[in-house]
Amino acid sequence: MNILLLIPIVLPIVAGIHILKRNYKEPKSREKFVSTAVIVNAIIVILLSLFARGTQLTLLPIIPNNPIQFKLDNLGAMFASVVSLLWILCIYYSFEYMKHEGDENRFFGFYVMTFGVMMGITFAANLVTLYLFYEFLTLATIPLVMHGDSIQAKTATRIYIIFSVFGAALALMGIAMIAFAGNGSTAFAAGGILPKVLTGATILQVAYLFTFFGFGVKSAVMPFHAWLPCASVAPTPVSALLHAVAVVKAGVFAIARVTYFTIGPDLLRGTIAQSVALGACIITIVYGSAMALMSQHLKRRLAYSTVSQLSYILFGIVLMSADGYIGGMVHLFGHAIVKITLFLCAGAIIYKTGREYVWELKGIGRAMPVTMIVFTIASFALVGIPPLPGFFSKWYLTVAAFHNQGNALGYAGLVALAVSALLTAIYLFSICVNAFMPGNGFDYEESNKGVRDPNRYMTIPLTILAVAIVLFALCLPSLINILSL
Amino acid sequence: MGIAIILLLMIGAVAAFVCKNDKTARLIGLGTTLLNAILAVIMTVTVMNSGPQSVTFGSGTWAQTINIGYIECFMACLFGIVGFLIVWASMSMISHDVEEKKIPMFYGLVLALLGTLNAVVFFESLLGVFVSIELSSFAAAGIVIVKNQTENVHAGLKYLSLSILGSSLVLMGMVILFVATGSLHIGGIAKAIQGNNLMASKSAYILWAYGLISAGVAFKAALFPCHIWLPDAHGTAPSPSSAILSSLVLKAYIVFYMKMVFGGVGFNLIANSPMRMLLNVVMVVGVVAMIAGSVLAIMQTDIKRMIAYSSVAQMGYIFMGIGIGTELGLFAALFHILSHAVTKSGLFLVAGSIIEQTHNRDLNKMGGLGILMPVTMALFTIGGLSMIGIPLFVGFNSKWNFASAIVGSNNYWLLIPLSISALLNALYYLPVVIRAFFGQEAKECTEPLGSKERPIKDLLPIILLACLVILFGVASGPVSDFLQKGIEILTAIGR
Repeated sequence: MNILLLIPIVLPIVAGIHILKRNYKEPKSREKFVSTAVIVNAIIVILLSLFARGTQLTLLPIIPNNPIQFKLDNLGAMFASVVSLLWILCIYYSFEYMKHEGDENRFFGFYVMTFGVMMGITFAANLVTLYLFYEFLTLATIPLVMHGDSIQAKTATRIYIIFSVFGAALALMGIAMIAFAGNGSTAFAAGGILPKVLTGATILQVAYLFTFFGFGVKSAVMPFHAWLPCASVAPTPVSALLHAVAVVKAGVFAIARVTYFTIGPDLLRGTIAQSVALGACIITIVYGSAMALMSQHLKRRLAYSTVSQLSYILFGIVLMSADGYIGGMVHLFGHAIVKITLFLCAGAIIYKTGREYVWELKGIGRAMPVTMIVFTIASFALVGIPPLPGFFSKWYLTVAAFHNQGNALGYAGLVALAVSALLTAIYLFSICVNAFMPGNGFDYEESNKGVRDPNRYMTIPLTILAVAIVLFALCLPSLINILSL
Repeated sequence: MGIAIILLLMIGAVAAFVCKNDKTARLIGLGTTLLNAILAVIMTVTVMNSGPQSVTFGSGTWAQTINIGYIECFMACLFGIVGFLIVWASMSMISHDVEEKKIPMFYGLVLALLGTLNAVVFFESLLGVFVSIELSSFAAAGIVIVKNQTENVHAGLKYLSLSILGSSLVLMGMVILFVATGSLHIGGIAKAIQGNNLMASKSAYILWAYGLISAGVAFKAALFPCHIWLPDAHGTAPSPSSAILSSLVLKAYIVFYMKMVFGGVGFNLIANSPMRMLLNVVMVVGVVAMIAGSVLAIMQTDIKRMIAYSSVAQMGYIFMGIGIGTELGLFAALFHILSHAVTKSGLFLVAGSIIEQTHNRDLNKMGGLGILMPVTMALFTIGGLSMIGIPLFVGFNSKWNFASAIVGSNNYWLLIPLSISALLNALYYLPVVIRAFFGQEAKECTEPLGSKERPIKDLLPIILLACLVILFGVASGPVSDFLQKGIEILTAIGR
């Protein structure tokens, strides 16, 4: 039974290697293989998440007290299931989208492989295992970022490598400190595993900052955010799935693991380390939104928006309270669905029209109604209009920030959330409004000649996502119930 | 047992020198190193079962002692097994670099070198150590010069001269220690320093002695900025020589240094005496080496020079570990000796294979190599990932050990250079891999997959080295325990 935990990790990696080696010439046979592999894997993940929570598997002892170990707990199972479902949608979407990018064998090979690595992160039972897959996540996504082989893609890859490797190294230093401070183990348990005597100890504070900023690189916290907007040169399915959900959320997930499952929130609440981390989140929230407003390139705007939104989640996590944790996690899942939708809409526009800048989207709502309606729904959700996902996360974050006794920075966070909500509304709604209401005397025929919604490979995933966004509220009580510490 | 190993290698060396035929020389080289590896393993098992062994010749001040403890066994196994794999790999590679007539000489020098390296590690008495150090310098320069091209004759001479400078500094240090302690025996020195409280009464002598020895070892083990000979020597030597030089030769001197510092002075005195200052210098220089070596490596376009500069950086790690001066620091340094030996020898042999097959040393022209030589480049990738410190490869365990040592000694600031160094390693290994497998050239490459690959049987020793990289990466426990025991024994000499 335990060994089953390995399947979702190994299967996609083997499948990915098979795609690279087989080098399919026929798109149909590749599509068949890829979709089978991903769907089967997603089903296994969901079955495991439903029925096998709590199982544990220990493999090689690479470091004393920290073997490679997997355990499926509630947070991991939830994250794994959501990621798996989104993976299916994105793969389906990519079949169509990647036709204009080319070199599909390499793309799908690594895209599928990343799925397995991601499952490794969610299943990890201690920080060393998590770190292992975290490093492999960087390696597996390098070919995806540099897919286009253009000069920008190469620069973006270089920046991505520099940030990711440095961040991982910093995180490892923090992990080593945590292991040293405790009894050597870095296993996860809700509420932390370190003894209470260490409350506020210098070594823990330093360790927390190392892990926060180390893992924070992947979740684009200031001052380590620069790689994410650059990486938006990657093909859109990569930006959507990896740079809005998988890779960046892996960083957030790791920070949540460190904060609530290894060190424990009680040991750090009210320390300088918490203030520094909170400060970084608050600055990033406002900075990301401001930069998004200033970017005219649609995918860059969304990437900066991700920078900002990720720090919402981190803000919740770093508040180190039960409310903050729930707020962060609700936003983790809500933002995952919403941002992937926004990116996929942007991809659909690029795929059909080649337009990448915001000002080129005037009146496009009439030409691509499905895409733009879905985009608008997602925009509403991100801004936080009830009853869409963004509203709930903001609600919980606000409550948590207000209840936060240890740290006055909670109030600063409230201000940042308000400012950022305003900016988010401006940078997203300006697109929607222009798309549907380009103004008096706009010549629809002339400016959007021949532009149409993409075919079902793209519209079906978009529609499913839009429905998911609308129905998110229904799942919320059970989500909170499962995630509560 | 220790003597048997040294004698075996020396006899092998003489036999290889006198034989005229290059085929016989190869066989002698391969057979002797294989026997050496087997003997080393047997010796290790004996020591594990019945404790350290010691043999003394003569008596009084000039008595020569060979002392085989855990650390010595560890090094003997490393010299034996890695040496054997490199010599095995050299069977198919050496004729590319060395003329047929010089092949007996090459194997003679390699065996002599391995013999003297073992002697450097085994000898407990400083005179024996010094003689072995000197002999090994000649043999080491010899396996560079044996290629007989202008550039590596120059490099070899540079190496030899700086090496001699290093040994003379070491000698001066030894003489001062002798004057201060009246002993030419690490155990005796330890007794004098730790037992008679010499650190208080004669601290100037001891600091001078250890300062000179440190400077000498810095030259011999290429600690930045005394590394200037290394890129030339390792970069131009025949690839199997480069592998031996970087993975084994440098390490023997470092182990000697560890024995002098930790066996002679001990952890207690290191923490609470002027020795701390000296080791602080070693630590800071090690950190500078770690960064500078990698920065210089990034600037290289020649694959072998890049790997050579990477060695400079890795030596920095080891000296940093020594400089931390705690048990964890020493352990990290010792483990890194193993980790660097198995990784770097593989990388040099891979570089040799690439140069042999494509006649190209320029890193910028290695695009698409992953299509032409997939297995070779996969081996390079394993080495590179280990150097960066990706888990499952032995380099990660090294990085973890260093991080623990740093945390344990409360020098938190060192964590930043350690992280930067990991990043720098990534910056010169990953682009090679990426260009080989992905970039534009790989896409446009029309030749069939694996068309320039060497036959698998020639690659086998390198594959085995890569297996060692992974083996020690996933299961370092037994080696770690062994080394920890070794550290206990090493520092217990004087107590």
